[in-house]
Amino acid sequence: MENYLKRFEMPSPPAELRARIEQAPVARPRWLLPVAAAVLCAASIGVIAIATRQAPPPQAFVAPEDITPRPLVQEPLRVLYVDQLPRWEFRYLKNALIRDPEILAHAWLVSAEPEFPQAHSLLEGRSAKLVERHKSFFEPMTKLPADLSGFDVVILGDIASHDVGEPFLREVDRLVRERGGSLLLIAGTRHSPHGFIGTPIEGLLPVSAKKPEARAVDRELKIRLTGAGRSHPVSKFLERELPPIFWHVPNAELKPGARTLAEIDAANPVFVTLEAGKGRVFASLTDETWRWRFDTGDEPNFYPFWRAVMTWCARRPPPKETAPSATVRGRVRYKGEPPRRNPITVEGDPKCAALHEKPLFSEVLLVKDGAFQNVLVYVSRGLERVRFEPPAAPARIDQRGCQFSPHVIAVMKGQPVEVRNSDDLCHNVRTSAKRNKEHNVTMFQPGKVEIGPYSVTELGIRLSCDVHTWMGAYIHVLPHPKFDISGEDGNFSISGLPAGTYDIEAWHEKLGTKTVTVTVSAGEAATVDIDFEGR
Amino acid sequence: MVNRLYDAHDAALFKFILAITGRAADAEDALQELFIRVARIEGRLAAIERPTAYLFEMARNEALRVMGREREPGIEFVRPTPDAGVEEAEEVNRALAELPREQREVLALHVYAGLTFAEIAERLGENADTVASRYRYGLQKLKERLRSVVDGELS
Repeated sequence: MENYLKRFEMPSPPAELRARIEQAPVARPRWLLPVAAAVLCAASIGVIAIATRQAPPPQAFVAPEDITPRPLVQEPLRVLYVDQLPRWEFRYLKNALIRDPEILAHAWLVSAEPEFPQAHSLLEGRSAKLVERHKSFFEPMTKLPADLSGFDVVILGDIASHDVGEPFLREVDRLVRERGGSLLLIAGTRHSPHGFIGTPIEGLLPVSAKKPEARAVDRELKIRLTGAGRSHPVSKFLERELPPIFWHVPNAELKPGARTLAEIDAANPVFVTLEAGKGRVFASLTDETWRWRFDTGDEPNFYPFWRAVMTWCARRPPPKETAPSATVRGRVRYKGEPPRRNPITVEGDPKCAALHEKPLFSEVLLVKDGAFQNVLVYVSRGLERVRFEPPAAPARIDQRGCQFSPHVIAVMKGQPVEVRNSDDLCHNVRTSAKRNKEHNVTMFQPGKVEIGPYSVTELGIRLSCDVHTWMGAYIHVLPHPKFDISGEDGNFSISGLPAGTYDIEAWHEKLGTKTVTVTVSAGEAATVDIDFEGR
Repeated sequence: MVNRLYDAHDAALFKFILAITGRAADAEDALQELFIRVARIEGRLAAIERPTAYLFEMARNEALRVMGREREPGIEFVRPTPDAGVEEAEEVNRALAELPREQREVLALHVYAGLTFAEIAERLGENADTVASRYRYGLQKLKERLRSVVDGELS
């Protein structure tokens, strides 16, 4: 077996990684010192400890409101990213672009040999489906395109104008002014933006600046949002305390019409936008936004920011039909002999028995005239590309009369979940989750406990009470709010869907799942019934 | 010091991280961020009792952080070679993705980074027997999962 495995190889780190690590400015931000000291302390007594800054609590990626949710029908943005060296900003932004299914991107490093993989289409890690659907876009590039009509956004890094040539820059100018495309400039120590003065894109530069000083590593610079930046779709969601940067183009002078979204101080703008002809230009006068990723990764600042910049610049407001208006509804039915509901013996707990003069019945199979209650019905396919924000209001399950009520709930990933005890006796809340944190809380008296929010999607987390063994309920954690639980009449209704084709899955704790596919157009309602075979 | 650490361990660290993430792009990011972090504590590295184990522990954390909250690995662990084709590699990758992470870590370090169990034990701060049994279990599972493929190849 070992020899069989040895026929394959595991990739090695790319050679340029060492160079990048060597260049890494070694800075010791003040907030790291206490952490490092703690590590040292732990390490000196032989304990392996790990240095981490407290990452912010998990939060769903929420893009600025005027670009989310991106409707399903929208075409991905087409991006061309040109830089000279694979600097840090390039590397991280390129990788984030690859991970984004709504972006099609080519990267072009003018310093690279023709065979150098980063000079090709960004195919690595992309889904075969996406590549297949956009075959013509992903044709490997052998030279910079002379015609940019296939692109929405051009990102120019720290390149010299002679690296790309005047005709290319003239085409960039046309793309922005005449065709409403966008240009993103990411400054650098060598050529940008000062090197573009006197080139065909001079008119697109939001600022004029002198050749900047070399990179310093000992001076922390704090980026602050301007008044415009605090309400602007590309920056308003950024954290107020961003990790510091160490370099920017100093004393850039704004061109008429340019707007500063963020700055170091009044004389030093960092993010500047400009409307030029039909298009928009965005300039970042630093190439160190990758530092925002420290400890947190692409979110919540780094990639949401660049994505918002690209989307805003490309002027892609959602089409008129902003509120998704399609509905899927129907009835869950139980075919066959309705099951007998078994009575529950409650004698184990005298306090509980005293509450029930009439016997309690199992809630596992609730069928009335063929209508099947308590079945989760949700969209299992078709909403992958729409993002939703979890509701702030908690989902609730109550324990009343020694039963959970309701018996089934569904919540969104990230939504708070609370369990109440409305009985004047002791309940124990235990959840059995496979992918999420489990809970086991004893509630001696009436009150409530938080058992969410759940961070990962999961169907059928069982909720039970160790005191009253018949008590059971189910919590479903879904990535979106498009679900319903069938009512007493078996009916369900899922509204507010974008027009499209969906798989609708029904889930029941005993009878498993059923899936139907349905296509629904805007403003209309499709009706589907879902049948379970009784046993 | 940082460069020396990098040169001594880059290949093993990269494979180790890749065994966790299953995505080469993520592994590059994680390795890079790992060394930013190492550079930041450079002056204090000498005081750490088992720096190699510390480095690998940091690498694991970095890998998990890059993967994000979902913690689902990708399936790009190994690549085809002239000896073994694309489809076979896919099969092996799927099988690897199903292994517990610890077993995959040891497999990567032993088979692909060429480390002995003792060397792996030192790097992971584990006992060599534990490492060896993780390896054995991992191999056993792969064998079961890939039986048809491997048998076909060998006959």
